[in-house]
Amino acid sequence: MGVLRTIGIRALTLIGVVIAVLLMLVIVLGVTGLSDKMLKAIADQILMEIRQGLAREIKDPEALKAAIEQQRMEIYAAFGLDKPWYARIPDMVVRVMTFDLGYTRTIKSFTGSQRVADIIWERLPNTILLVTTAIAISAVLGLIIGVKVATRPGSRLDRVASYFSAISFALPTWWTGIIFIFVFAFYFRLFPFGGMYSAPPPEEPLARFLDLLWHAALPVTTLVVALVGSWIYVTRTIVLNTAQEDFVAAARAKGLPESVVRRRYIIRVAAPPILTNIVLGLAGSIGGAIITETVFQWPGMGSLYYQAIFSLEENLIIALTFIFTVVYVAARFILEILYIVLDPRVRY
Amino acid sequence: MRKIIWVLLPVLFAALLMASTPMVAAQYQPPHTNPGPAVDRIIVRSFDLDIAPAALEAGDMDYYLFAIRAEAAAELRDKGFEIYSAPAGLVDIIVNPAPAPEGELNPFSIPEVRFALNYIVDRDFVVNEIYKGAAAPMITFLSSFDYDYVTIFDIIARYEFTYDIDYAKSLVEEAMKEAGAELVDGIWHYNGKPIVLKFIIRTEDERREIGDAFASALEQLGFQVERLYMEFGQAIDTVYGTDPAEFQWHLYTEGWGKGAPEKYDSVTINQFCAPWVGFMPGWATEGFWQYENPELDELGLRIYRGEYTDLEQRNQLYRKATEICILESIRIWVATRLDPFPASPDVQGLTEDTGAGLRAPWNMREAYVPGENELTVGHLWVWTETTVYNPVGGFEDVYSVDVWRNLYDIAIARHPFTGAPMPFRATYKVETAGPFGKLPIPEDAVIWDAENDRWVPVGAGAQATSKITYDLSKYTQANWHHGQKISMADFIYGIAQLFDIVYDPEKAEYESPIAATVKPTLDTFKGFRFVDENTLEVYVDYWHFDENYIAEYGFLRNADSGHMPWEILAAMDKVVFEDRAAAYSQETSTKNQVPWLSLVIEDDARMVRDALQEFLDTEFFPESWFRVGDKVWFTKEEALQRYQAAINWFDEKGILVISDGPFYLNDFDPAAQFAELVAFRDPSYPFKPGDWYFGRPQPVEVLTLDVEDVEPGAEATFTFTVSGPGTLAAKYLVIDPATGELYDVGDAVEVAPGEFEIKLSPRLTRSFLPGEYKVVVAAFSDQVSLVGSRSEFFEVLELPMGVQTVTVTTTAVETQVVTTTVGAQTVTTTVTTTRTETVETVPPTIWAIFAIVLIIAVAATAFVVRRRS
Repeated sequence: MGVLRTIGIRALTLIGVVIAVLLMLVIVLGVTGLSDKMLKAIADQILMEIRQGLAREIKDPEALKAAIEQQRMEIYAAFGLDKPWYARIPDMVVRVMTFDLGYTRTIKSFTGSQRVADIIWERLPNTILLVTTAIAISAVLGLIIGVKVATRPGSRLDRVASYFSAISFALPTWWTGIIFIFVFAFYFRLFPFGGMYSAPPPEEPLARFLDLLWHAALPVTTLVVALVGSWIYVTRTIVLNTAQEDFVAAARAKGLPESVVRRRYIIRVAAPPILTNIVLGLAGSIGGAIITETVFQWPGMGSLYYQAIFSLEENLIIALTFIFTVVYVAARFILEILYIVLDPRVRY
Repeated sequence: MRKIIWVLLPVLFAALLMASTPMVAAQYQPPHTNPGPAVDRIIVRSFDLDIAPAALEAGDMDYYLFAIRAEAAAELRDKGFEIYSAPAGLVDIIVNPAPAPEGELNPFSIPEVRFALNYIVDRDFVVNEIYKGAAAPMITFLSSFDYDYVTIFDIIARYEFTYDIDYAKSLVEEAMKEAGAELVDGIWHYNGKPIVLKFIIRTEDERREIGDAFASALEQLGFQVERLYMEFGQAIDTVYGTDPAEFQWHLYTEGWGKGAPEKYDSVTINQFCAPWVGFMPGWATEGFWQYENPELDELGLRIYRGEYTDLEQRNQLYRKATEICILESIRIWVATRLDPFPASPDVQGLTEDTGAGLRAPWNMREAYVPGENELTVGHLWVWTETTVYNPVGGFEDVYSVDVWRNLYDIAIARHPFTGAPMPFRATYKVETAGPFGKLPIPEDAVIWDAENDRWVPVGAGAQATSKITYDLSKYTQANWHHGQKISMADFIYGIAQLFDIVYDPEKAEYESPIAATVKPTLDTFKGFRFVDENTLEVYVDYWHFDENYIAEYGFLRNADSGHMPWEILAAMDKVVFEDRAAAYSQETSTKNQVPWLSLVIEDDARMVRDALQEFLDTEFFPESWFRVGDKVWFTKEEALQRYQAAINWFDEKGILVISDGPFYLNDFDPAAQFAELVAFRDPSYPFKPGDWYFGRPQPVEVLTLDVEDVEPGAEATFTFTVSGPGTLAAKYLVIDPATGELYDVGDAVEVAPGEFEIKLSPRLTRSFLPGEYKVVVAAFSDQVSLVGSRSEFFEVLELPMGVQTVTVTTTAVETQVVTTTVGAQTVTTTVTTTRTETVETVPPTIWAIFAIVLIIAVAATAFVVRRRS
């Protein structure tokens, strides 16, 4: 009963988080006037370009004015500027919470759909293939190497791993990406320089998938190189701290074999914080990697979010924020349960 | 001197730009003489801006359609790659001239203060340091890349818009003190408070540095400047979204895209000077304070409407409007940005279009690498969300247009070096009674009746300003990409479709964004005669002194619209208007939550295919659309054949872009950012490689300028030689480099081909004081919009030794009064030109006295001797 109550409280708290995030979004977009201002600026800029073009075609000044006014009304209506923010944004939020994600204004899927669900559904696998894979590989490598070097502190392997971690952590992803492109795509010509498919892309589904994997190799490697350092360092630190605890010394003093000490006394104790990193990292990965996606022209969730903000696609911003928050909350919920399972003392 | 520098800088820049590029026109050898383009296949694919130079070096692409960074261009040029440039954007500082509230002072409500700002822009620094040479200075809304630059060449010379803070300070000081401001500790104060200027500086590009430099210069003039760094959205909203009288801004680093070159500009001058268009502060937004200038509006509207009788009168209007615009100085012009497009040195057949650079339609038709049969052309993107292929409301971004313009043939194109309209796939004959007369329209001419979906006679007594007869045989004797013969029926449907969207109330309501913008143009079309399978007559209320412009205006489906078989247009009409399953325009698409119809998106194209299938199944044939008088221009059997051919096209390719140009679109993959263009080698296609190759613009160069010493009061003749294409002409001006005073301006006389002469009259040379003067010549051609220039110093001699002059000076003052209304305030600016003429008289000198004395002495001696004898 105690466990269920704890889980119930956690669930309620996390639902509160979702509502709070969406409320903050409404405040940022609507109450501050940001959304109206940005949309109006974009609409006016479009109108200005239209005015420039029309002035070259319509030679009657009055007709030109009328045409521009008509266009203004059309564009404002298309942007939702004919309604105040409080009649627009909260409505979107409520709809999104019922998983009716709506339509975008301009952004569309490769198949031409402007349904937000279609767009996200199209981009999500790309991001999972790129970012989630890279985080998973980094986490596994970080775990293996981190544990290994933590058990041999001060060794040559530890020093090499520490230097590598520092370098990896310091490398800007975009820079690494461009260097990799120059070296592996243009110099050695081992991988393509970007995009998801060759030009022309293979027609066969399997060949097309393999082509996709080939194109993913370089960006995934870039991300792994940029991420693995911090994974090694974090794992090493956690494991090392645990290995220096008194109960580990006591276990060793009892004469237990080192493998048992490592497995039962060190790794199990160090597991919750490492697990937190892994789960939250994987959950966060669906947010994409804007810079890597841009450098490698990989249409994932990161660039989608960037596009949505840049063109102020309110529907898409709200939908993506909602989805990211829900995924984060779900991950946190899973973690809460795992904590309880892994550590019987956890009841709060 | 200052004047000369700024007259010369842009033209020298243009000359340098062109001089640095080899003349390759004669070197181009078409790879074959088959119909269609030079290569069999072009792959268009996406390359990120940062890796494009490396991809070019690695041989992964042959040329790039997106402008690269200036540093990258310089590196590639050093490595032997070709760089093609095109003026791409204009940068200016716009000021807010609204009158300040009671008790405050807005310095920019004073025209003299605004005018002074022209002297605080260090254009040399902007061009060379900020843009690293990839720009040209501007001191009006036109630069040396505009054909009309020559029209206002001497006006520009009259103003000393060089970097001269001290001079600007003196102008500002005079005007501010007159307005009641005080300079306290170097800061301008009004009613005891410092004057603070809000300067919005864009941060995304070079405008940040330009803005900072300008702000520093303003501070040197004594103004406190509040620098407001903003990105696009915030800046646009503040400047264009607020009432100028609210004073949320005083200055803004404005940027504009540069349109295609225009031989005879009628829009730019209105856009940047005349308030009626809505681009001047107040933005024609109801409720906002408006910058007003009735004289500029009147001049601008006369230029815009074509209310002049000939080129000469038009130029006078243009010059007058320019002069007022300069005096008003609402915009302080800074620079024209040049976009560099890189290409492999192996690529032959590229044309440097002065408007579109490598993006121009000539290039994919003519480009090839010797020994190879395909090209890879890079672009930043091949597909984005606004890349929409539909000929009615699509083709709104560069990525779709840059591919599409190689899939269809325009009827009347713009010349790549002058911007003048010229026949491309249609030829024409123009008759006009304009600007004030009317031509009768034959009674059998027709107009589309959108309510009843039929062509109806225009009736007796109908009139129009101009008549254009188009020869469409290069279309109608050829085939569409899907092998079906192009017919006059395709033109008939295309015209009717536009009229129907505009005048059919239901269609106009659904696609109101298109209807509203096309209607004013369609209202001027008074009738059509479909004479035979090759000939179309159009009657239109439009006039221009250049008949090519009338012809271009009269060809309704010239640009992106049209150029698709009628059955595709009809099937799209069904999907959009009957099924309401898609929209032609983006706004309608968003409003109705239906796809913005794009024929390269498989789902969209499938809807059109299904409509075609329905046409086929039901044997649909819109006969009334093709019935003109007693003649029906298409048959049901032909229609059914067309439907099947279009369906087959989709079934094979999954897309439905069918047109009449040198390539057809064989494959398009948005996810892969890839398009494949395949050569259309149909024997009926009228063009072959070499037909539309222009190369680099041949520069107009002033090769020599011979001057001689000038004797005051004597006629002087200077000669110069000019090389360049076409018919050459030249202007000159004479200036005192020490004072900047303009002494003479005029047209040079061509005495032999390429040889020009300037004669300075005795009356003019008499006004020179001894010393050094400068003559500047600007040469131009009717075949390229770039101006060549050269200058030389010449010496004005003193009179022979012993001859002294007594100068009698008469001063003539020419006064031009320019009245400007700024809000409720009327400002009268007096432009005074002072011409000082000196007439020298030779006084008696000591030698003359000596001579007289000598003569008297001789005479006296002779008298004495004679008396004695």
